[in-house]
Amino acid sequence: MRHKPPVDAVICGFGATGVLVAEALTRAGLSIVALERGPMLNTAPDFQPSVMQDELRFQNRHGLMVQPRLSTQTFRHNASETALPIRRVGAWQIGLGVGGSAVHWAGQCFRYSPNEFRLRSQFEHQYGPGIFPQDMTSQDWAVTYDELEPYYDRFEKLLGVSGQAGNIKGRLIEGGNPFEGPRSDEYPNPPLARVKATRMFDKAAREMGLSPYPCPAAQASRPYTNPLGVRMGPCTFCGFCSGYGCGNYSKSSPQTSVLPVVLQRSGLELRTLSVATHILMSGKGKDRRAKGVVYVDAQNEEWVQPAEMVFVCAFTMDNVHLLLVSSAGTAYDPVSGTGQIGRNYAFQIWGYANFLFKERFNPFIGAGALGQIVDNYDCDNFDHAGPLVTGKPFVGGGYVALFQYGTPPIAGSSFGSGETAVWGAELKRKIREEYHHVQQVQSMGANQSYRDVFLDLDPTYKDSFGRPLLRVTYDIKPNDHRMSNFLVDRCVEIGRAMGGTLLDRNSRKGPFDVTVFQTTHNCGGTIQSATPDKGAVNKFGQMWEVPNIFVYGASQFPQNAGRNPTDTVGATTLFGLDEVTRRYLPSPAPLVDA
Amino acid sequence: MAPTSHSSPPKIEELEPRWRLTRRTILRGLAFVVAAVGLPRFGSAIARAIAPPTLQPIGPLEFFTDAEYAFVAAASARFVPANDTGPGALEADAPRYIDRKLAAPGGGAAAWYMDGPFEPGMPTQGWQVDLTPAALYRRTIPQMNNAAKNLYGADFKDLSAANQDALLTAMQKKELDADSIHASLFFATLLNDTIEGLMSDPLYGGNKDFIGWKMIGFPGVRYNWLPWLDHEGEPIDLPIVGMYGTAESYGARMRKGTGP
Repeated sequence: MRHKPPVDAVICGFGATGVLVAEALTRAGLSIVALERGPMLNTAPDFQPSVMQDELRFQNRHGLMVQPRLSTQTFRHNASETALPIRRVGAWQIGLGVGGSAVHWAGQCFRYSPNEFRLRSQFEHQYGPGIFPQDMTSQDWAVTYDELEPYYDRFEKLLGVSGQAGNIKGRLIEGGNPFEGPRSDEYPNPPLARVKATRMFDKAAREMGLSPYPCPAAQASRPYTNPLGVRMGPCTFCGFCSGYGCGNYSKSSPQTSVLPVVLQRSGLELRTLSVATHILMSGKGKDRRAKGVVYVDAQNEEWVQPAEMVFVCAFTMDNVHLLLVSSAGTAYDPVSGTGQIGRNYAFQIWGYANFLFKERFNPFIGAGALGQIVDNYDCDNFDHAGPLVTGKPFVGGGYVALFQYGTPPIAGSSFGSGETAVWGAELKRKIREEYHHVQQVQSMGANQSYRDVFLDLDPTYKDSFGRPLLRVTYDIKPNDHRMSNFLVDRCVEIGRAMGGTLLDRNSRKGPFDVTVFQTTHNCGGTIQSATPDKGAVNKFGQMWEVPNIFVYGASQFPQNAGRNPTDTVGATTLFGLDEVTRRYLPSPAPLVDA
Repeated sequence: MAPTSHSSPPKIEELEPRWRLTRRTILRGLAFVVAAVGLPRFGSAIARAIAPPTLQPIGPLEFFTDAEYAFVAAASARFVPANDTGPGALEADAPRYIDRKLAAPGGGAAAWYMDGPFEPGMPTQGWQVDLTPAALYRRTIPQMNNAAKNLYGADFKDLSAANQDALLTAMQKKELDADSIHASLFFATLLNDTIEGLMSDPLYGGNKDFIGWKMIGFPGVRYNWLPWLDHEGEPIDLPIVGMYGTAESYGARMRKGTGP
């Protein structure tokens, strides 16, 4: 193995969080190498409409995603099963290349409710500790909403989010989300325009006494220049949005917010097509440190990149995988409940109800965050022991919403799967008669964490670098099924109030199906915690066990909230980086005393 | 008339995933995941599986034998039939799309993880069969023709529409599954591929004359829908366009080959 010249910091993964690390550290004058396993991607020429508007290539064949042949996980529902490799892209889609999953995301850019950060204490306080099943390991975050607020604000301004504030410094604003935590400022851009379906949702929800508001959208509603001087153009609702890169400089991504500036800075060297295979470790106990990263480049050459600090900035699964194969931190053991790397893995409980309407919608028009939302059923915004909740109460909640993402024709022609797949004259009838008249009311449900839901290394299957694949042990538990049922009942109420005829509904229950795409909102595995016995990193993203490794991304989340993760991924990263530059760089040491 | 096929198609063994990946092929492949990016001196299976084909005329069959094509054509005509509402998947050339898909390196599985060991697993664990889609087609079509002969006395393509539907239903409902017969997996694969062939950009060999997009009412890929945002969902009266333009431009470039 040959050695590269040492640098101050090496970043593994150049997506949503990696570019923020590069921006902060180059501003501080450090020398940095960023390793990205995929290719360089840029708005021109890679995301042009004549390239991107190809549903087959980018949805069905996952043209912007990590392919299983490069990297995948094994999956089982519980420890009594044999995990088998996920051989085709399925339930989640991890982005490949510069920008990562923040290239193909939908752009739904929500803050979490303040109570989300104190989930356990809030629900215990409200309903008694008995509401938590014994095996549920959901816990309070180490960081609070108030601490994060300035960083939410900064991230939303970097991304040029279009939205309607509901609460500025405690003053409620009509048309915004009344359950929102206090904001220090407006959104940088006004909300996106509406279409017929989102207007119908808004009207029906309002008449039901709910509080609909426009989805905070990382699609620019007008020309915008962000605080770094990077410019965006207004969205044209082409409909090729979630799952695609934006050729119009309208959907926020690292390419339209940070990269044009950071790539000019002298301290950064970006190496694409370079796979970080493991972190070089040294020392034991309190002296455990990272010395650098081993990576393989496109010429199949293996290199050591020595560095004073290592930033782990890949996707959730890959953050956990890199730490486990490097023996950086102690692997979680679900039997004893000890060890931190791999614990509290969670996904997203996404449910929906489909409705047929007399109205016609032109559903190919859309944007990934073109939607109306109600937060009335999120977190503890409603009474979990009250009359709406039938049967046993549950922890968690989620938003209920209608989005017009832009439905392309292959997706619009597929109904059911396996033994229930529709075909024949009935399929043709549905294609001809339903595409323009169907809308979906959906719920983005929280997902709690459990002692026996976790990530570890697979004993059998290996990747092309000879490393064990990451093993996912996951299923949907009764608490989360009850929550999903509750939320989908609400979807049905609103859809009916809109005048729709219910076609089908799906509230999630086990066994979890890894073949059906749901979301890419995987989280946990290197969770943040107030004390080292409860998680892998402190609230600044610094590993408790290895103080010169910092881990950013949704792998920090102790459980998943009832909404999309990206705004909180950005805010937690910026929050951590401020402390790193303020306190760690002058004097490298643990930022929180253990 | 069925198009002319290769004289000697590859055997199943050649289509099964025995290849072992090297780091080199993987990393070279990465450079091609987005076709506009990368190092043009290397080819790769992953890249070719994902990158769009160059626009080329429909010519002789690239993967199917005549007998295989006849089966797939007959099935596609049942999946999305031609009837009094207009043409169906066969008329849109969905089977020719599938032919091209399976002819690609890796038989449609170039980007998949296909290392062993292979275990049966559960349906919720996804594809766990030691076969690429190409091998699945090659193996299962004769098995289904045998089932058709045993049950109804003729090859699938020669059955009445009602008997074809009955056989397809038996496949879908797992009634024909056995140790070495993956009938329900084949059914799901064939249905999925047929819909892809009906509704994908004509660049890929199906959706001839935008038959699929006319069926569903999709006006094609356009970059700016702002003028129609507040349009109350009224039909949009514009010619259909794909990535290469109107039906005429695809017709001139793709259909003057030697195809059916």
